[in-house]
Amino acid sequence: MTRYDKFKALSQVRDKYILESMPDHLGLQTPKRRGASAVSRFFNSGWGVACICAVVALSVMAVILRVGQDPWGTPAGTVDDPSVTVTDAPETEAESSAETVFDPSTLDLDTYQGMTPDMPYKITYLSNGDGTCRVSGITVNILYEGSYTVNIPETSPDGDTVVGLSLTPSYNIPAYIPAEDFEKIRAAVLDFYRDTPDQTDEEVARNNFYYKLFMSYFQLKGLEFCTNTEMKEELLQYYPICEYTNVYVLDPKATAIDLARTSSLIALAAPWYTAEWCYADLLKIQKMADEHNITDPNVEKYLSGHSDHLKDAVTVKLPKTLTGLSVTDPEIMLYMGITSLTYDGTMEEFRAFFNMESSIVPPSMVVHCIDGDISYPTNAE
Amino acid sequence: MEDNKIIDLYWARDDAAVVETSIKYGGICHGVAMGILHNRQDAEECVNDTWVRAWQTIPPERPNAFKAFLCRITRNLSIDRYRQNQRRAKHIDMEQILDELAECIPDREEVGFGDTLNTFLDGLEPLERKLFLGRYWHACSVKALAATYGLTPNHVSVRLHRTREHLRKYLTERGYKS
Repeated sequence: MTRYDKFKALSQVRDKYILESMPDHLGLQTPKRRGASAVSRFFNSGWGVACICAVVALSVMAVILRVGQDPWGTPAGTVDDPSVTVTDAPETEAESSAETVFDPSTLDLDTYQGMTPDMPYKITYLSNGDGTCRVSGITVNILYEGSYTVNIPETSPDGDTVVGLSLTPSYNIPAYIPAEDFEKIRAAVLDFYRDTPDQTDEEVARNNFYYKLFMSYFQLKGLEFCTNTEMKEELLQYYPICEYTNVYVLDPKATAIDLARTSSLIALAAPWYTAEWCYADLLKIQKMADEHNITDPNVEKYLSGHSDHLKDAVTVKLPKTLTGLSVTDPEIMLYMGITSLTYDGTMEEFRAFFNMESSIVPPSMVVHCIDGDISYPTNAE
Repeated sequence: MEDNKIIDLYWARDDAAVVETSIKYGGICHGVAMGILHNRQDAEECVNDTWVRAWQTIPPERPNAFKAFLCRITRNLSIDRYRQNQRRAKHIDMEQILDELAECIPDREEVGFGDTLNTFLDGLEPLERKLFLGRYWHACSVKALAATYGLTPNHVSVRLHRTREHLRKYLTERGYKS
């Protein structure tokens, strides 16, 4: 062990001994006396807290409105005004970047979740085995132009009565991507947070934090980072494509909220990185694997979870027969782009059977959204 | 805000977790980082990285002693950064701490070293333990320790020397080779 490792080895000391000899006892000073970090001072100041609250509020609103605001906070030095109301839908066309224009015609539609260009969406049913079923997935055709309403019928093609809707979202995130392609996204996110002139120290610190947070969800894998043969063998066992290219892999521990925020940030900072690009990056690795006659199990894994992604302005119309609604997380459901979730019964009835599996977003907020009267509740905490 | 409520915010993936953590522990973490790095900018970076690491780690973790948990992260990040700053002039006091500690910690990290170390600390007098950890965990200067505990710097140095010798022998007797 080096001297540094020996110093780190002392980290294994019991918590109570660390606390016993804590800075308070040793005269290490508080932020006011000794200059806390810029982030600390930012957060400690009333303005900072107010600003952060505004950002959080705006972020949540943005998620609800699906207007493309940064989910982790608008870059410091730009808009932080809580009075700002954003109503326009985001521009997500690829026109902003000539270098990165993607030609959808290169996609092999036959392999894209069984969708054809004239098919706007596909509903997947899961039978309950008692003559009823629930909708377990709505796959939206990423190549289909225009807005539309997903009409969930009262009966499935098999004749089962639709009584439930349970959706698990997926995200427009590069889960498995060649390193060189990810670098473009990374650079865009970096610009998004740092390309603002005259930032204060506090703003720089805050933006650095959000950038690092974004990067923390992606792990760079490559042979060059392996220091011994065992590590190389292990890497190639799990990521065989690394023999030919470095890849970034999405942290499998990322939660649904993390994924939603990451996806939303990418949509904002790198609007050219569309679902088509995301899909193409996976196919790129697949193609590379085929060329070298190797099997990379990750491609299939990530492809299978790629597309249950509802577009903006998609309305989901629920059937009257519905008696239960279950989503992984209501915020995610809203994020997914279900900008309108209509129900033929009364709102009270809807509220009665709305099954909240998460308490992150208050039910009232969801109801507001469904009701079309969107407002951020002041008592959200 | 209470620690368990802050941790709940992490579990809920609520940004406010970072705000509350920074408000409550920003100063202490900065102190830990400054003790090692002696550079304000680097210390700020480490504290910032601490929040990121905490965000990554909770969940799945739910630390019992949140303050110690954060300080441990900051300490490890800080020593990594100190090590990386090869071109920057090393801080004399930190170099001394590393040298002193290297004398008594084994060259190879054996399984169970943490338990052995904690058993050793259990057997120390509280003041000896506070001085030892103050110096080698929090990287405090001898002068600062002397002022905190009402001792002379020379007295602190002598007691630290004895504790290091004690630890070295303790580990050697248990098969650790330094």
